[in-house]
Amino acid sequence: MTDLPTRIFKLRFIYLAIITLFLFLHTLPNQTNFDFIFLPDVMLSLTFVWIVRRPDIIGPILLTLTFLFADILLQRPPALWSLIVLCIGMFLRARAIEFQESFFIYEWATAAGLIICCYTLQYIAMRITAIPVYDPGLIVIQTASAIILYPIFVWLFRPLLKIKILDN
Amino acid sequence: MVRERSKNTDVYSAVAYRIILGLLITLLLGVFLFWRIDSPRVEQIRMNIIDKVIPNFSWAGIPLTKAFDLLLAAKSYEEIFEQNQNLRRELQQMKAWKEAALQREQENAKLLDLNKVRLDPKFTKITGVVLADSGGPFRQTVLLNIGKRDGILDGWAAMDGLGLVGRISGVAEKTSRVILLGDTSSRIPIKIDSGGQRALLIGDNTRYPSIEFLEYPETVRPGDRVMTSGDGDVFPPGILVGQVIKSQTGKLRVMLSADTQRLDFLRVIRHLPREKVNTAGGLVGQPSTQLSPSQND
Repeated sequence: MTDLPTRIFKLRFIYLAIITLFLFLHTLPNQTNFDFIFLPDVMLSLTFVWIVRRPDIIGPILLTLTFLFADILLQRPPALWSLIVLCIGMFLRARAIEFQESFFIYEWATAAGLIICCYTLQYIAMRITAIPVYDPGLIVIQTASAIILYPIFVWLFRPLLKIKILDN
Repeated sequence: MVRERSKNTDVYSAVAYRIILGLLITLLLGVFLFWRIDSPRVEQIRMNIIDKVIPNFSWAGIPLTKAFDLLLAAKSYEEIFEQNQNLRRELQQMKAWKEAALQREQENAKLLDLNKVRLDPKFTKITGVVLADSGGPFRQTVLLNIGKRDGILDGWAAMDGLGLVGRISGVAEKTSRVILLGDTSSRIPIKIDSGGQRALLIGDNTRYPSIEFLEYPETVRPGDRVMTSGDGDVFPPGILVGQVIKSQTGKLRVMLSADTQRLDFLRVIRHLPREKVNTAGGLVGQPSTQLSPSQND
């Protein structure tokens, strides 16, 4: 499960670039028109796809820094969403080897369950700490978008995430 | 031997991984709890970080923003004939209104002159450009390119040409954040123009924020104008917010006068708080400092 170190860093760089592009799209002005454009939750499903396919690239530190930055930029309660994604993402990472020999539908179901888990945990945590919760309808849409995006990202990043050189 | 060594490093890296994970979780939990306890300080740090980041983004956003504008403009070209007809009709009505307004203006000028009224000079405005819209789908806020160096303070009202758009919340050196009326954390004291009932305008992530805490909702009709009431000294009173509409479920909401679909320039109203009356008899009796014993001897 190892690759050339330079390629690992290249892939990490690509991951960060995609996330930055997404955050940039999120912060564009003229986007208060929410009927017109709706940005799905790209970050979560993208991260899960990369964790499952290449657990060696997305480590805990990279994940934390990325999501903490996103929390700060997107006006979310700082560190809450990163904490949830870190815990669940690392749980997924520990099980990533299982998925290599199983059917894709099993992988997708697990990822979907964990995505739902993330949003539910966030909702509960916000309820407990008395932060104004988000609109449940929007949360459902976001969850669904993240789940639907998952296979698309798997298909999209399959060539990129292949291991080029096996280290025996 | 090689195998043994690699096994050892495996154990070491596993332990190191656990330690790092534990540290990160503690750190995140700490940040979150710290934010929950001392929110203003963390929000200030957040604003300062955004202050550094967003202006670097904005040059890259210009072409995309322009492209969006073009798209919207193209959309409106489709409806141009219908729009033209409507405009012509409206122009007729406007001419009538203009006549009426001119007469009123003259009358008003005369009356003002008779009364020697001076308008309040406090309400000056600072105009800023919308830099970024931040928040993803759950939040409705925009970032302005004016901040502490322009004298912006938290809580001031922001409007576009026509009506109220939101409230300043979070000021950094060069940028400040406006929470739009549609945001879930937005609560604005309002007054229904006919009848003068007070209520709160509460955002719920839809385009039309809802009116809550009305005493007699049955007397309010769709089409009534809604202004800020100035209760709680957050806002200057009498800023136009919009018109009452009734949703299909019978809930009263406000259609905003401001065009929240396209926010380019916002005016921030410089509103300094009035002198506060803190004690119960403060306004009626003498100033309390004169009654204190140190002043008596």
